[in-house]
Amino acid sequence: MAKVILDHVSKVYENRVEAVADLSLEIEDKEFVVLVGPSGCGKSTILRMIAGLEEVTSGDIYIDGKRVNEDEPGERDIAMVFQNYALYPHMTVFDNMAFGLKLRRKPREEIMEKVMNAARILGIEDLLRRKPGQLSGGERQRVALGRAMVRDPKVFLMDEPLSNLDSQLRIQMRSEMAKLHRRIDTTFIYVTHDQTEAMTMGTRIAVIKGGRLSQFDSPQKIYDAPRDLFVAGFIGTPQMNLITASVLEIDGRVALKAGGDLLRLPDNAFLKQYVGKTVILGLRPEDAYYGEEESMAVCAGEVDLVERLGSESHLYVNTPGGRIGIKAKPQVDFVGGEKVIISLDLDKAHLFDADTGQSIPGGISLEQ
Amino acid sequence: MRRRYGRLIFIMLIVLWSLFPIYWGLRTSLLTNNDLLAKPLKYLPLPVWPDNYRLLFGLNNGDVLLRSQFYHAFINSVISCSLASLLVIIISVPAGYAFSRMNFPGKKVIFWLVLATMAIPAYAVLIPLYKLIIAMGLLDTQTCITLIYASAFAPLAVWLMRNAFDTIPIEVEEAALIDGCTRPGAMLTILPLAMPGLIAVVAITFLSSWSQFVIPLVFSPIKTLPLTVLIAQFVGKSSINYGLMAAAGMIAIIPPAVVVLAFNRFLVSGLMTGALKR
Repeated sequence: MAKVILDHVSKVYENRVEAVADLSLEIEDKEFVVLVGPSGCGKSTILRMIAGLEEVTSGDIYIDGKRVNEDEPGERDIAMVFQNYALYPHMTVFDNMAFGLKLRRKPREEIMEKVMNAARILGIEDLLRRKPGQLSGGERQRVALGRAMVRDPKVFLMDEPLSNLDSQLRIQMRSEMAKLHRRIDTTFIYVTHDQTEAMTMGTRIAVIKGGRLSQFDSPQKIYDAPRDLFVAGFIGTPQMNLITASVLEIDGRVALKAGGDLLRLPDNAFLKQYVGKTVILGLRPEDAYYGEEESMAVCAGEVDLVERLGSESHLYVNTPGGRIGIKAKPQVDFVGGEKVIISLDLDKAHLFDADTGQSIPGGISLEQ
Repeated sequence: MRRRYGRLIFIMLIVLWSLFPIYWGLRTSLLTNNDLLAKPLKYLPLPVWPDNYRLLFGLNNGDVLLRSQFYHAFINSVISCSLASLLVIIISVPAGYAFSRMNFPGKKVIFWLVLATMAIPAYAVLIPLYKLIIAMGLLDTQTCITLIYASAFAPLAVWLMRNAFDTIPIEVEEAALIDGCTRPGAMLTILPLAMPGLIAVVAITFLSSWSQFVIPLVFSPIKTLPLTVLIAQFVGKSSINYGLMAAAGMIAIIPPAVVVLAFNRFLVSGLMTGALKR
């Protein structure tokens, strides 16, 4: 249970590669924060700096109000679950879990009680005498979690702990992880490249790109109001449609021109200061429809691909303004090459500055 | 099928090649001097004549002086080789760990310098080393011979241990650090995973020290005289006692054989299974 603060933290490796650049994060006590980003974005480095496995080049890290930059990993009162579990292969499951407590010279009864308790929660009581080599991937994963749990650490650090599990187990463990967080009620910092994991587990998500923080918000906020093009494209499947368009003024009304198509804007559109400039229009696939809908921007295109998921279908349409993905009913019966009319609900659209990639405050409407 | 027979024959040849000299030593140790020189050659030690062993062990009518010499030389060999092995472990484990895991200026250069000492032949340093040992007043002591063996075999051992640590995933050690280990503690925690390397180090050091001849001939002339040098002294001015030499040689084989057989079972593969998902 502790607040974790990263204050203008940077990490520059000996070969002058800047892995993390001037990153500031304030993680509240008992939060489940997910650091998400593509591989190589520095998210693991951030976690390893919090753990003390990696030195901080500049800036400060605080755990529970105490600056820990120079503290050894063992002194920080943290626990970490590694992607490949990193169990001690020569020790039994019990000894793996008890190791940290033994090092801290806890009494035998206490060690026994804590290990048994964690084993019960994780459902691995029957495995305590086995060695890691005799366990399946999912079981090893639980042992790694148990080893972290028994320590009652201030902060739980997890580095892609689910990425080595098969997809079914991964989905199961996702909900168990969230349950575990509620149960042991401590600060979790979780690294993943999987945006679904981030969305489903995090109370807040920090989207990292190129060693910098793109956005730090609740999952819904990140989905609803991505702060830049990267976040917009990274979170959500299928990806948000990003359409480059120029802003025009026709007969006193603002309109968008994308690849020759003129998109009618809602009446409350507020883009006066962008007239004559280029913007990027971001529209979630669920806000695009096939067929002509009333009061929406309409354009024509050609079906490129239909992905059928059973519960829904994803329709990809090539339009003069770019390829547009549409979340559609499962029953759509289009074939590749077919000409279709699609409708875009521009009321829901996001707008980004084409030069900076930042979202334009207020978006397309005046509502905010 | 034919390939399997071929392989079998090949293996048999290799076994024969390795074991025949040992058999020949055994046969020689069990024959009288007359039988040894008999024509045609005796391939089997019949009749068995165990007097050479009686002599060495000082059994009925045995030579008490010879017995005592043999006993002391045997103990000397065991002590110097064990101490050298121990010292090499103490040096090579932390050194190998440091070369594998830590970053310090000049790491590569120092590592190559350590390895380069292996290329220097013992003869090249024999005389300066002798003067040094005399000056230190260490001639004919176990300290002297242990230090020389350790300095000779430590570089190879450091190399082996570095490679052994290199194969251990860093995460296991990081987990130990997070669990609260100090650096040396983390090293000791993962040491069981480096066991094959460590055993190779012990085996190589012990066996190589055991078979040293020139070094102890110079540095261990009397009090610390080892078996290898003693056996060579069975060559008299006018005669060579082949039977006695062979019998002493047979006994000299036992400790290294025990070392190899005892450690062999720890060299099992699969020690690493389960540490990581691969």
